[in-house]
Amino acid sequence: MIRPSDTQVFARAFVDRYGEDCIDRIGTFAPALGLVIKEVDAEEFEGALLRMKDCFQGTLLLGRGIVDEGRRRFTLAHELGHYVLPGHGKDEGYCRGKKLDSWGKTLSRFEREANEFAGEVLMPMPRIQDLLGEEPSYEIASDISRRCASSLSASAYRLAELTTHRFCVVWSEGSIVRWSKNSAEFDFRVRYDDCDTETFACRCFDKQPVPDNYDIVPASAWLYGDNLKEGATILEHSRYLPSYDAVITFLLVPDIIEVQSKFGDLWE
Amino acid sequence: MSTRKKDETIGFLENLLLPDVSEMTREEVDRALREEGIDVEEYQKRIASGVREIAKRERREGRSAPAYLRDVIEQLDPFSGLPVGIRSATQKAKSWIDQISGRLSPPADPILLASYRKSDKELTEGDRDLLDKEKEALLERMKNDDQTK
Repeated sequence: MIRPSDTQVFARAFVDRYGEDCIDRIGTFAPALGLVIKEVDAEEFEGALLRMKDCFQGTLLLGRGIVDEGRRRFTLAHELGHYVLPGHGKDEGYCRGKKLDSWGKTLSRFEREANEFAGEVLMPMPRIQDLLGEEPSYEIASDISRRCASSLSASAYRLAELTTHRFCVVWSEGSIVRWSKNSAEFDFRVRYDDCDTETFACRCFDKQPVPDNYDIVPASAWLYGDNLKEGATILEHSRYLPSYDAVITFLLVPDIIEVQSKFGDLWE
Repeated sequence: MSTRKKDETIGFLENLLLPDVSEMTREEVDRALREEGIDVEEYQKRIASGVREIAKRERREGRSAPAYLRDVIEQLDPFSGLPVGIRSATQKAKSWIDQISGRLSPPADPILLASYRKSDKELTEGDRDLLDKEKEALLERMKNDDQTK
């Protein structure tokens, strides 16, 4: 079993200390952490953390303009991560709103860690464990999102983090893959490129109809082909999200599609 | 004076002159130490470095450092990352989370840091004013907290 990252261990310790509903109840224990949480009428920032260096005294500001509840909670949990995690808050800085719910490779280490922390405290494993036994899908990600009042993208990311299926979630904007998260078992490299015309994601951007569930696409349309069998296929389910002008894609690999697989010996 | 009477007298004087550390919060202990001119973090670093030296000496002599020494090193060195073993990692993370509420006292020269989650646009004048006001409020809050203690 893979050891959780340091950030995950800290987040789990936080949930252990303050409960699975810690984000809902944060107002009750924030003063004990030296933290004041305020909603403000900000124009260009969604969240801000003012803190004293080398001690726990701070103010967490949340913009009233955040309409989406999942996004508001994620911002809160993300800034809380910056406040709680050791090593954060040594310098001034800012996180771009666009990077909210984002796990792109260009994110700094601290931003990635704060996102990871937010995912753990908003969607603690015990709260969603019963959903993880099923095949990962858009519906399961939506169930996590509803249960934990988290955004769909954060829920899908969390699903990919925890499932044991060969699964990957991909986020595309303007027909370009922006970020992806695969399960530990998904041993392929996603193409960070323009969406291939054979993908349903590409059709979503072209406003063409797409299947409402998983359907077969060529594996090479999504994955680098170094180790793929000829004619290999995978399952794709893509959805256009108008509020983000983005497409979220769920990829599932139900069969052995690689020439040499670390799972091959076990499955044959 | 009988031994019992002597112990009672010493106990009485102790309570009169010295605060009961076990009844104090970590914050109060830190403050009391600082008031006596002790730099708590510097002191922790010195202990950690001393303990590390002992552990090194043990290893040089072909013995592995005892578990209690490793525990002390890990507990006194919170920024060095978590241990590889999940059990000790969890223990250390829990201890870090538990200690947050005890580290509320600001250092002598407090430095205020700000980070924002914002769009691609620059902060507006209004946003800057808002943040400046909140920074002042935070400094004021700390000053007031300081005075009430």
